[in-house]
Amino acid sequence: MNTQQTQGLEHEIRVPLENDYHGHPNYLKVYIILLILFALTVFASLIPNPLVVFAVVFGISIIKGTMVLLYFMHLKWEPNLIWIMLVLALLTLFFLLIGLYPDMVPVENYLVPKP
Amino acid sequence: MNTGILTTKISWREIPQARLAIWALIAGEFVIFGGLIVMYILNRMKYESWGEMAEHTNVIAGTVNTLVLLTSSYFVVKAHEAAVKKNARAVKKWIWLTIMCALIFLGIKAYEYTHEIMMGYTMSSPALLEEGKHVETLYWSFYYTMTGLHGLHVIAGALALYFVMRNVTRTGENYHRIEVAGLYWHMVDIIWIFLFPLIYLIH
Amino acid sequence: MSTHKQHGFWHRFFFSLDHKDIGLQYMLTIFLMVSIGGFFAYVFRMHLAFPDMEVPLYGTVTPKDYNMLVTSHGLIMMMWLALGMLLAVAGNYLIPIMIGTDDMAFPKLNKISYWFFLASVIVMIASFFMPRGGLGSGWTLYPPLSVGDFGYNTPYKNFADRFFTANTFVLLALALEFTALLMGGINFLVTTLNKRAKGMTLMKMPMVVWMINIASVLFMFSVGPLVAGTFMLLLDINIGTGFYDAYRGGDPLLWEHLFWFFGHPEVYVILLPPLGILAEIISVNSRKPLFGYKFILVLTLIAAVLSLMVWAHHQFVAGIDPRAATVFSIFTIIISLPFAGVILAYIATLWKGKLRLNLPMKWALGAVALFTLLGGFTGLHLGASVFDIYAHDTSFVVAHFHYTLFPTVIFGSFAGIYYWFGKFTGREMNKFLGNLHFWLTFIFFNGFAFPLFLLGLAGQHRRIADYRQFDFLMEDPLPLYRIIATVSAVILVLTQFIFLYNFIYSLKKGKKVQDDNPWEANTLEWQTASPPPHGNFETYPVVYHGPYEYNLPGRDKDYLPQNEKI
Repeated sequence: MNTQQTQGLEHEIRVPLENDYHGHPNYLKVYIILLILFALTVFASLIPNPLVVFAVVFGISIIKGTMVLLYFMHLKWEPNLIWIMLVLALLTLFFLLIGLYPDMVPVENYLVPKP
Repeated sequence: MNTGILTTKISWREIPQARLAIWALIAGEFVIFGGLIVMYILNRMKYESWGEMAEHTNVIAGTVNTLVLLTSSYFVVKAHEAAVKKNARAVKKWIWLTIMCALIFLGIKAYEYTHEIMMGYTMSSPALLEEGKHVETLYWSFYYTMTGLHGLHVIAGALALYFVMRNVTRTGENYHRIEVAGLYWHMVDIIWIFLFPLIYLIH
Repeated sequence: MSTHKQHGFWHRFFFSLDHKDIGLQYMLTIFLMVSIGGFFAYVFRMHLAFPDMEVPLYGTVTPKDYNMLVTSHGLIMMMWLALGMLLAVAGNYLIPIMIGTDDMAFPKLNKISYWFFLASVIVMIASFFMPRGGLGSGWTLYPPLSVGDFGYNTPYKNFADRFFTANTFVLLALALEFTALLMGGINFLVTTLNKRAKGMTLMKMPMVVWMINIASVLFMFSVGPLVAGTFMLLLDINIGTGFYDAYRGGDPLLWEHLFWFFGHPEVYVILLPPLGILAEIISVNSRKPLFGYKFILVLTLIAAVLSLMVWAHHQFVAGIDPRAATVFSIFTIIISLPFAGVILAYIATLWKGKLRLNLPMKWALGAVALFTLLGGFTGLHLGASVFDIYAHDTSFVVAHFHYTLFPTVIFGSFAGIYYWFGKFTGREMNKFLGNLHFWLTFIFFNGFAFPLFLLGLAGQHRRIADYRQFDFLMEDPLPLYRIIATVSAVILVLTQFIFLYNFIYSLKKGKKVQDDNPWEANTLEWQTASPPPHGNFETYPVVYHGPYEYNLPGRDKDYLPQNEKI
């Protein structure tokens, strides 16, 4: 138990572990789904078209990551604030991607010696 | 007990402090690694020769490592389940399994690194430079930076899990810390979920 | 209640977990850093106005020295003074007591944050004494100049040669400092969310607490890519990787993007806390509620998100895609709107209020006036990429950012210090010296910064050690402007000694405060003793309403403390 009484500070809200508010989904089921997705990823990499491979593989990674977040990390039961923080993080990365793109991808680096 | 009871979302006033703090840290770490990943993706789109270099990574080792990390995530969440039930022995077992997965991961990574260094692919790859393959050296710089930083976080996460477990088994208290350390471990796993296909699979 | 004995100064300095002690530690460390940064400014300004003269207390200023002085001045002021004073000091002192709790959520983490900060200061100072001198790449650390002539394809292959350089040490100092601030930011956020007094909803918090938290979150997200980029730069310097080497597929422009992706939100990170402090001081001294609490909040959040979309206005002439420049230009001009809204809200707070022109209020009004009229408007000038092509890297930019940074960071900090000194130390600062300090600072800051606008428009560029090589810059009245700016700057620096003397003297020998709430303010820190006891409150307050209930009709007092029922 981790209630803390500092000089009569009773407004400290501590959630006792027994009443932890989030449930426990079937972790084994989630794990197996993750393994299946992983196998799909590996098979997808055999597709000849690199752009399709990138899209599929990155997409599956996003699904896997989201599943770990939602179920293993209990994000599904966490309050909205946590979701907002993660969305903000993603938004920041999105702005970075858009801002960096014009100066990195379409630009030809003519200083690199040609083979 | 509450396995199976899925309550509705609660207000953020009730989230325990340590958990809130670790989520803030996780969001921050996502931006750091995300930055590296964004830079890698953009560079990858620019330089086709990076595809060739990606073929020199050990896909089998990478695949095994991904399996190992996914499994370790499963183990750590089982440890959390045991912690909720205050079962110190089960906690100890699951955490040790997780740490072993971490060690296997690091071992395989070390093997990969050794092999790649012997082939001349290092942080700055002077051998490649001499061959005139300038752009390819940058691929390996990114490879070692991203996987190296990730490896450091694996070590940090494993150490955190070890010390938290030791505290729990010795004092029989502070079970909530298992979840907090576990959350950090899951973050490390998620980063690898993204790193693996980007570095190993896309040719 | 508390039963521990009073420890000695040094024991408390290193081991105290109390947020007020930690705030003081940060402040004293920052005073040290700001003295160094201010001294460097004095030296290079003397050199610019009087190029042949040996600068008193320093000696001859060679071009290499000049580069080092300018770089270090920028780094110290932006990174250690601004971030430190406004996030670490303000957050540590104000957050726990204003939300009615005893201390931070993680006091030991708070202590560790300070140690990281102290380590960063030591490493930064050590960088001046490296074998090849201090870093002279400009505070923006652009490669390849910041990689030095031992990064790319050089004879310096020895790791020790590369490691013991100012380049490495400055970056390590920054890394340590960012770690300290990240830990502090998490601490502030969790404290604000979890430890508020009973009855204090988020919408009843003082504005400054909101601002510090939003600033911390913005800092946390914008610094991520820079942490990655700094790590890459360190590798470039020490191992010879080619992340920013164009010959190996890297790109110096990448560093610029990563740096400014953080650098622009950073200036809003250091703007928001002073805006918060100004909100408190202005509403208390107008005896009126703060106009538009939710309005200010929403605008601030919009501005925080927008700040992540404007960074390349620092790179208009760096060779970015001109179409991207258009987009960044538009967003830069748009971002002036939320801040204009916030300033209008402050003016509306002042409107028809019973103004009390005490010392903190003077600093606050000075800050609002200078920031808005001279800093903010010239930001619009520079935001238009067309004008920026002319003005980039000239003294116009230097004047702009001094007019935005100095009124907010420095005037805001002084406003806060003069406002809260009595509360946290239990003693008063000398009023006469304080007023002298204010007027001299106000006059001579303008004397320093305004000529820089004129010099910049005339074409004087930044980071040039000797203007005598340019005939058009030696025509009258430009050298005179330089001399006016320098003399004002020197007097400005000397004036701060008045403050330093006043501060240190009053800490030990100032007149004891008679009244716990001399400003007749509503926020919780004024409802406890001066200085607050360990744990901040004898009995923890319960909050009944927001902090801006001034001048309620039908009451004898014109203020209503948060923990008093109507």
